[in-house]
Amino acid sequence: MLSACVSSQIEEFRHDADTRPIEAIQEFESVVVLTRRTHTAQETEKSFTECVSKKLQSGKDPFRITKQAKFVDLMFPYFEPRLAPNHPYELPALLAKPGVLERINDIGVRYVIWIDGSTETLDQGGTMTCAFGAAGGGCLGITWREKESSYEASIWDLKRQQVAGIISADAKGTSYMPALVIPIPLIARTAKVACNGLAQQIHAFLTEGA
Amino acid sequence: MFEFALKEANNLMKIKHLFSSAFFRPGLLALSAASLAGCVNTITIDGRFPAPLGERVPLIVGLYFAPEFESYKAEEVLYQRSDWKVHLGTASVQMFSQVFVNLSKQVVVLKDKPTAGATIEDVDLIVVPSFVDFGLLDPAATPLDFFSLSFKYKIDVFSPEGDLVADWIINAYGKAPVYALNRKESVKEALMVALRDAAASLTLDFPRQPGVTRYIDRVSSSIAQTRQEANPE
Repeated sequence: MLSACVSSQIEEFRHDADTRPIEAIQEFESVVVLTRRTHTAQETEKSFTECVSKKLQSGKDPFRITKQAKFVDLMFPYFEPRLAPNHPYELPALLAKPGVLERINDIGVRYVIWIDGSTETLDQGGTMTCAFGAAGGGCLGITWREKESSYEASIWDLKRQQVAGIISADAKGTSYMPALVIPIPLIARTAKVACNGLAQQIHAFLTEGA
Repeated sequence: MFEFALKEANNLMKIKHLFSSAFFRPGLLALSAASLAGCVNTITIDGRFPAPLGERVPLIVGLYFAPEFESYKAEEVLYQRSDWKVHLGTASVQMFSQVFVNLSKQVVVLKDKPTAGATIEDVDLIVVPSFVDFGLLDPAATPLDFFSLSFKYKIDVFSPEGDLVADWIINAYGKAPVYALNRKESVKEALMVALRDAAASLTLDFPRQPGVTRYIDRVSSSIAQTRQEANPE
């Protein structure tokens, strides 16, 4: 499969950058990447969250990652969709509940990364005609689809009980499918580009103090 | 040879007559429509619910599941589309049992419903759940691209003497993306999310119900004394 062009933009916001620099993640500390799940809105694709998680635990200086399903089970019921904290100011109350702080210390999670966003189709068009007969067949025409992947990672520091920073990733591209007898897909992998950019930036963000 | 040809010609005429019969074409159309519209998808799950964080209620809890609760099958019929039949009763019995194993000192599943004036021995409190409502949204019938389902339980809590201690409603909601090649898996996932939602609400709501806390305050010291007298070691 051939790839089409994708343009991307990554932005970072640090909380209290001047007064409280980020503490670099230690070897014994782990990170958990969670999908922001709400009852009404569209949910972030599980595949995207897993992509970010995999990128963070691979490559140079990989992080220790606690898997989302395991973390949610160990923290039951406080990270179910209805009960999960929506804002960092809810953290002190959550950590004060019986057993919660002890469980987090047992798991060793230092940073919780909430992923929100989705990949949408902005526009599509073109035509293609295919015909098949006894002597053979083929297609003629061209179709295209413009997609945008827009995601945001909110990094919560459980030790300081506050948001450490917010990183956003936007990737836009157009996939084409020209056909001259055989269709040739040129896919713009916007979600993949957004995942790579976001994971890279999160890694740099959490290792900066090292 | 000529007779054979005549017989074959007659057979062909019969077949042609059959195809052009006034009953054949409508019958074929009806059969096609029935095969497309008549699918019933049955959903059963075997769920495991994690042990919750938090305090246990220091009581032996009896659970009574009425036959209509255990066998409850929620149905959603979509006009000219697939129907859904969800075995909610079986999954709910599993959920309540697992939650109360983790929430209370001990769980006993009762065969008889609590009634006023008839004391049930060896339990401190009795929980009786029942279904109130069920709904399933199939994305085939909505502009959304996920399955969602919701249902409600009514929870009645009784003393061993059959007196009503507390009652409240628990809402459960779950949703899951559509898996194009496996829509049943989407509904199973949504059901599991909804059951976990109910388990979470039950875990947090049960110890905080005013009637339950008053009852615990009233009886816990006398229960402890009775148990100590029964087991002096």
